[in-house]
Amino acid sequence: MVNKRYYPYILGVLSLAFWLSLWEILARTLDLNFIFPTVSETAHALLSLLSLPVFYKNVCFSLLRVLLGFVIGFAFGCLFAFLSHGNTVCRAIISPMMSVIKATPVASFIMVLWCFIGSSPVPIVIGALMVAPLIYHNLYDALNKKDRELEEVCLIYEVKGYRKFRYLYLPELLSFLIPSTVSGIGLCWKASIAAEIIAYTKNSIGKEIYLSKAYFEGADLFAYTITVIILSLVFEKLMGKLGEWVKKKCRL
Amino acid sequence: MPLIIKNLTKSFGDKKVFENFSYTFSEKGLFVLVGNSGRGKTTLLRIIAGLDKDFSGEITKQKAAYAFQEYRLFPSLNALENITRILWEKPKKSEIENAKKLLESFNFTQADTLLFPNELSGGMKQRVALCRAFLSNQGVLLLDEPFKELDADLRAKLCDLIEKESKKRLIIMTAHSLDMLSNLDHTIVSLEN
Repeated sequence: MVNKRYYPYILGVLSLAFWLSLWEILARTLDLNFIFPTVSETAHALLSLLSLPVFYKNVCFSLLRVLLGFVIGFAFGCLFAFLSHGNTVCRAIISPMMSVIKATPVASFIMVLWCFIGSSPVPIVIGALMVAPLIYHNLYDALNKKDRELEEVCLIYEVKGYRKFRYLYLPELLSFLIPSTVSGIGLCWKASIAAEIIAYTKNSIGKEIYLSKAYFEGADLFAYTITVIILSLVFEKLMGKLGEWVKKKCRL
Repeated sequence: MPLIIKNLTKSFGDKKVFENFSYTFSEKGLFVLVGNSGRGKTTLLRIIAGLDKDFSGEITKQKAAYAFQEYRLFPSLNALENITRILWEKPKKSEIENAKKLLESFNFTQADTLLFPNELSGGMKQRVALCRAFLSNQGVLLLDEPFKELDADLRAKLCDLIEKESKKRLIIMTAHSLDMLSNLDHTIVSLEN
């Protein structure tokens, strides 16, 4: 009899096995390994990449761009949300801009930015542009969602300044901010890699994906894609853990 | 300084709750607002506390502590902190001890004082809210249905505390039943007419 607490892990392994089998069957049926390689070909390509120093160099540079884009987007999202909350004129200016950024196709931004700033900073700016509206909208909603009952308690007992922020606003802000931060980092990975591919950025995973496609090296393309998926999942998990730590620290 | 209300008129839409209501509360003592539901007991407390400013008439401004009917505890603070961190910017050891003692006198164990609002029962939350109001040094103490969730033993304890405090400051409270107040020196303020 298997212990019940192992069920989620067993289910996870079975699910992975199911999807890998389906991939293998499809790849073998199609027999187009330059576009759609088998699982074993992809694994082999990934192992080969792992032995190359240039692979780590590309991963490190892409990682740096994603993180930079995320931090910049996060900072601007927060700044704009606070400005919009505090001033109606600022809100009138910032809110439509954020809505436009959110709705504009990523590729359009990449093409325009590429012409102005060159290929290297494009993934950073794109990452920031994807994260900023997400953080802005969530934080702005949190700032406007006041707990009127506790506001009155603050008024009665003269809880002001930092104490009011810490006990009244911060818990509300974090409950909105933490989930959007976790989804923001995933979004940032996707958008930044797409920007690297289109802008053909030097020393990047995106450029390698582009070259793999150009030279019909399907196994390499899949191997790099899997690398991005793993990195994105790892960072989403890390952000989630960081959020839990902050929540624990703030005792929410 | 007595708390004077002059010609208070307050309405919610078409419904007039107070029309030219005047009353003078003395500086100390216990005043009990009585009246059926919707007569404006809580509204009057809110007006005195300065939380409702949409009225006409005059009222002397005084700082008031308020134990709300809905307890209103901060979810990120435990029972003890809901008193100490809210009442004082940097609570002193003696103030924390006083808060602990008062909570313990209301049947809180040492461990209970560290529980968060989501871990407290309705009655426990009410006791925390009451302790917070009693420990504040505001000149007026407003208690909205303070006996609501308390059992007989705790009601008796609260009565003792009210009696003691009413000798030092003005207490205005609302109550549906006056049974438990029979042993207390109090003035009834009827809002029926």
